[in-house]
Amino acid sequence: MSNYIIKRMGLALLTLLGVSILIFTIINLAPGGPEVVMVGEDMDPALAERMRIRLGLHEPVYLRYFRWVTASLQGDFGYSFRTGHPVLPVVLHNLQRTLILTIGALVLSVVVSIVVGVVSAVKQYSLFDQVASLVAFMGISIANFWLGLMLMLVFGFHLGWLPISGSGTVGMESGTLAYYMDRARHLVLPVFALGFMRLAVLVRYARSGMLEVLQQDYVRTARAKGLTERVVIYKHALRNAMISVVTVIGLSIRFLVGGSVVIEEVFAYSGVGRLTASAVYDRDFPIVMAVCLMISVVVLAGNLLTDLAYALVDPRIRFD
Amino acid sequence: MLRGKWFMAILAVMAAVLLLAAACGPAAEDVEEPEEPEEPEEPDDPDDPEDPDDDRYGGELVMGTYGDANYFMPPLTGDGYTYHTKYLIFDSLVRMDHNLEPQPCLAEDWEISDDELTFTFHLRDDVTWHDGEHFTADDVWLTYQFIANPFGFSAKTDYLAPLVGFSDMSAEVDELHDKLDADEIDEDEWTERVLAAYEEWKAEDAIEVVDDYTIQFHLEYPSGSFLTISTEVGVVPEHILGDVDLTTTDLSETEYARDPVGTGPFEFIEWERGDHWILDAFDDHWDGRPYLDRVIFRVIPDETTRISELARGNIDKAYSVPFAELDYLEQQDNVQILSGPSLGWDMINFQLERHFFDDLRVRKAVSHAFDKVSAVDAIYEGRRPVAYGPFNPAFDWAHNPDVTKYEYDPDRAVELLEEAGFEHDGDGWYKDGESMDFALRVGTGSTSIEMCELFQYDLGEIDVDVTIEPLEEAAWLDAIFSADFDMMYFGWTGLADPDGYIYTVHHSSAIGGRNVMKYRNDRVDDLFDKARMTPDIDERGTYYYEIQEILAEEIPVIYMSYYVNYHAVAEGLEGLVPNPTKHASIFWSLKDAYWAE
Repeated sequence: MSNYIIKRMGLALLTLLGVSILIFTIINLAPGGPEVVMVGEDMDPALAERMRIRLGLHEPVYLRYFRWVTASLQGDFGYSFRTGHPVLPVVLHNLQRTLILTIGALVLSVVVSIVVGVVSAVKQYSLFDQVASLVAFMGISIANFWLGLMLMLVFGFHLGWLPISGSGTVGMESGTLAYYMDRARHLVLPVFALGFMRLAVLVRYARSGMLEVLQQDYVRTARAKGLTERVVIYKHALRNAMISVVTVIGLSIRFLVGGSVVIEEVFAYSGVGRLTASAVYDRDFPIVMAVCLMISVVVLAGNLLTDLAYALVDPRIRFD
Repeated sequence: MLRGKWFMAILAVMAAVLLLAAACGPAAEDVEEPEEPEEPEEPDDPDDPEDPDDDRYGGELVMGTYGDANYFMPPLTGDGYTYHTKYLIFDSLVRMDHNLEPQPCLAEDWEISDDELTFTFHLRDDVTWHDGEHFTADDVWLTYQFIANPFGFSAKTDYLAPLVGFSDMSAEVDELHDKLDADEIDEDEWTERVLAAYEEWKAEDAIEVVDDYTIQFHLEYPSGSFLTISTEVGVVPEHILGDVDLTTTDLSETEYARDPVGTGPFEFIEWERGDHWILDAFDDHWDGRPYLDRVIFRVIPDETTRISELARGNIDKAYSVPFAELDYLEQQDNVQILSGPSLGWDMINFQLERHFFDDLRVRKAVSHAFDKVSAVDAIYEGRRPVAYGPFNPAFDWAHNPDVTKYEYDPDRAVELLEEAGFEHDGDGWYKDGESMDFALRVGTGSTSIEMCELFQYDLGEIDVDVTIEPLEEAAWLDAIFSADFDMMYFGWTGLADPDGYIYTVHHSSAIGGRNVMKYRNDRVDDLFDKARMTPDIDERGTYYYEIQEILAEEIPVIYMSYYVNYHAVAEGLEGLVPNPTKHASIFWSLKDAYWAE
């Protein structure tokens, strides 16, 4: 087991290296560098040249990449081109916000989808199943930014039950109960908008996984033994049905992090998704690099955890 | 069968609910009224801002912006919101009011010598920094040195061009930059030589501290716009930044750039990157405490979200409201729309060295084919005047209303194409085997793209096929910057003096810079140069009149509309006055803003 984990970690490091080379190359190939955005409509070539020198862009790409790698290995991710902030604290701060959002969306989608999926499978073709399937199809079809806007219009704008946007009320004293309540209220709509689509996908997987398992011989055996339906479903069938669901949950992490770009934009929630989007527009290379690296770490960690979770739900799987 | 019915019924209900939610939109009566405070008492003396009983004091203002702040370092640069906060956190020597008249600020008075080569500013002696220190001429000196010092990498260096010896120094430094970039010299040699050039210039004392409250600027040639420049620079404190070594430290990476101390009416409290920043009233401002206690800037990138927050009363001003939403907001009880001229203009640029656009007949044909008056009216909802030249009507001394207008006339357009030697071969126009079809590039804003679509449609009517190429911001700026387009739709924002921004778009010396259409006309160059050297405003006006006649005749670009600023702000907020310069906007008057009721 520990050998396996070490091997996976080694591979993950290689992947990160590959990702960093790829991203560095891509952002440097993109038309219009950071100096162009900074100079903006001043449009003075001498000024652009000055900015290139200020930002160190007059040096060849490979040299800059090499500098970046050596510095970042020592924990120095540099300063944001646009705002002059040290990169690491900014990225970690925003990453933490996004993790709260994505974990919220993940928990919501996993819990609800398993319950709904299992009930749908057990009561196949019932009214509940029909409605659940319909909602699931809608969830898959609806763009999450549109759902976000609709939720905002209904619950934020018309009804006024929840805040329309933001990460929290500006200027509140942090650390108090009211502060955390306020943060939580700001999370409700974005979490739902982000989680709904994954929920819909997961419901389909949970339902079909469960249906498949329910037709297996061992389920029939369990029933034949005279076990109650409850024990058959929750003890024998559910655990086996979970294997396929676990795979999809693992895959969900990257979709959720990706989806957060749009959701954070719509809800003015200052997470890592919005940070990435604006950094890409501004060609803020240090931020883009750090963010992509952090997101890669999160996704790779998610994949590793998924694989480890297989062992938990399926005793047949051993990592040697 | 039953299953199918249920399915359809549920589907129908769901669809109806969603459609309803989408369609009904925010309705006026659903918007919560802002809380009604008690009846206002008449202020004892409304003209005395120091009166403690004046109930205009108090309250906070929340701004919904679309992007984040930049570093708070006025000498360095300041696109977007940093310009705006300049008027709040910082003060400049002189400030421009909404009539574009210079008004005293940190300088209570100034003199221009008879030969117009020396500007003397007499500074106020009662100004304190937010940290309690006293303001003197040394602060001003340092601020301008940050701009002048090549290691400051200021984007405002051009402002100092008229100073004695400055242009020579910049030219030398720019040459060294090029050499460094081309690897002809190494970093150490570059540093040494740039530093030497700067030290040499500094020794000439073009910026001279006469005493604690007097500072002088020595010019190489008379400049009609130098005073304007002094309105553009917020002053930073010597006692905090005096020890910064620019050869080793980037100004934007200093603590100060994220936690600034100024002399302005509001002091900086906090900035959470990408989320918000907060300013509080500064009690000891030399011009009296502002009425508002606090100003909060919240970053809300999505347009719909921003408008919803405003209509709901959660924010008090929404930045950059699209024209299509102004009518809706105007109908809201809790929103008012303030408007005023803005100095910029938008246009469709020809690239005169590409395609067939060096031929005036082709440019005329395109102008006649495009119904720009209808297009401007449609896209800007009749809220912007149609432009026939770059000089905004707000410059009443320079704007020439009586120039050639190539009216919408597709038949004339076809004639002109034929005159220019084009032949129609059934599916389009050709000359020497080359097609008249071309690409129109544009940034990704939705109104810009709609404008381009109208252009595309009109040109299509005379069988010229226009391809629209929308570009994301950095790529778009890069395409403008490198003049990489056949035609390009964009606009310029204006400065307080037309020389500062119209010159560099049309003068042939700016080819390779802002003159991206590569326009070259000796007479126009000559007139611009004369106007630049002429302090007398009426005489300058006659030069600008003639420039406009030539430009309208030769149409190096199709001028589209003059900008007008629209500010959607909460009802009850009084005292805000829009300023036509982009940088001042309504912020220059925020100090005088207060909540009525």
